[in-house]
Amino acid sequence: MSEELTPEDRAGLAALVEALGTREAEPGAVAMPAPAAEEETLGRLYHEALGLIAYALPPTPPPPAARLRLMAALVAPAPTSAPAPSLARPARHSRSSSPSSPSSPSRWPLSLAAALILALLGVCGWLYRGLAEKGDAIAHLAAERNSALQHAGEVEARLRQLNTQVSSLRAGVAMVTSPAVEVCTLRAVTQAGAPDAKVSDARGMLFVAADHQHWYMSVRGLRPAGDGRVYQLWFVADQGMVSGGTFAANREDSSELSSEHMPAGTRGVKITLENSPGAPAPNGPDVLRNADSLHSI
Amino acid sequence: MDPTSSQPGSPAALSALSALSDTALVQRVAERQPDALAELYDRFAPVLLALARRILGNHADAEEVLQEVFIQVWNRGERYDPARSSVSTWLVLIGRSRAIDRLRSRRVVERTREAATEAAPAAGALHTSPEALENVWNQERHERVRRELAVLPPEQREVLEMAFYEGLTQSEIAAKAGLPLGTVKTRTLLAMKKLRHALREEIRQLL
Repeated sequence: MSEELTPEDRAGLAALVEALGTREAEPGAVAMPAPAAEEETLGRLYHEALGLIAYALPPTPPPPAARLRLMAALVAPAPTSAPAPSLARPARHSRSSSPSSPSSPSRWPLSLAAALILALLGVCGWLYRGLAEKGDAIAHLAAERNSALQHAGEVEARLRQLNTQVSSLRAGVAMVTSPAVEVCTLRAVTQAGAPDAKVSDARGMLFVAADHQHWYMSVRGLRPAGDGRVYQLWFVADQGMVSGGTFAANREDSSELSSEHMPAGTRGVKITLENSPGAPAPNGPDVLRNADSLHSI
Repeated sequence: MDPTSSQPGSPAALSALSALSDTALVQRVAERQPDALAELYDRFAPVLLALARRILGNHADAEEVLQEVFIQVWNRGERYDPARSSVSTWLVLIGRSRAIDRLRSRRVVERTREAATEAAPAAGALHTSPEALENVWNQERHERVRRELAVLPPEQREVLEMAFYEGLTQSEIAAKAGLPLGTVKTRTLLAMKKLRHALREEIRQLL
């Protein structure tokens, strides 16, 4: 037959031998020379025609599990020299392909993933607990800071108050220690020869600066006025009785008043017990009066 | 859109892969893209499983061969040469070679044990699932190839099927059929010529 071979025949035979792998060393075998370009093209056509023979069979879709096994095999460690598809055996074969087998390679990634997820959950829980503790500590410190700030504000207000008092006291001390100051003693006024129970042991002093404007009064021994009543200082001046201010009193401490203005022509001074503060003229009884003359003022 | 730019396994990536040619899919398999291999599997697994079943006559063995074929493609995809054959033919011939190898090793075992061979399932037992019927393209190709094979003279179809499905050499075919070797070669060549001409449109689509 070899003498009857056309180029197409040779191409067909070459395609069969190459594609089907059925080369054989038989006495009558056709010697295959190197194919010409045309034969090579023809050989390719025969090659494809052989490949199409499989399509004569009805397609047989594989079960979904086969596809899953294949995709699982792709993520498994690559085989070395051993045949790869030990994981490809269907269910009727060895237990190594059982999905529940712990030795199946495809189980390792799942186990590792599960372990990683558990570890991550543990770390997240630990971090969350630490965060909650830190939050509590921060809230506690913030409350302490607010309390300290409030206390500092109170201390600052008290300090300002004390500074004011110190300034006032310094002014008073400066005035009463001045060499030019005039001092007038205030004594309790007796009613019908007997001192009033509220003022019997009361006494006071009025200091008048050299400019006859600044004055400072200090009274001690007066009992509390009580019932909304107040003590009021009066200057006996050219224009009549001029109020020098009101004050409260207690037995333990002195009561003080001061001002930078003294009515002109002041000749005397007295303290009355008034039923209401701010009276334009003395209505209550006198409780203290100047014992010394104030002619020089 | 390049499928590789999408999240692997996402519907967008899978949809983009389904639009790729067979050759482009093999190139992506060579780049180790599992989604590309899955798409290739969906396209060719029904034909390859049918071929392996036809050769081995056993569904379980055929599934193993199918798995071996695609693992080989995954591991050696870069060896595919589009100048030598289409992807379809490349896969078919890999599958056929794997199945023939398994068949031969099984025959050795069977001869040693003198055991009865497992009866091949009847043609009716080969199931065709609705999913396969949805693959219109493969179904049409199946119909055309089956029709063209069916119109071959029986003596020509017989030698061709013995070579293709049983992996017999022409000498083995001659011995098995009780024919002169020259007759086997002539019948084989005639069958191949007719098939090549009859399926030229199919071949053109593959090239």
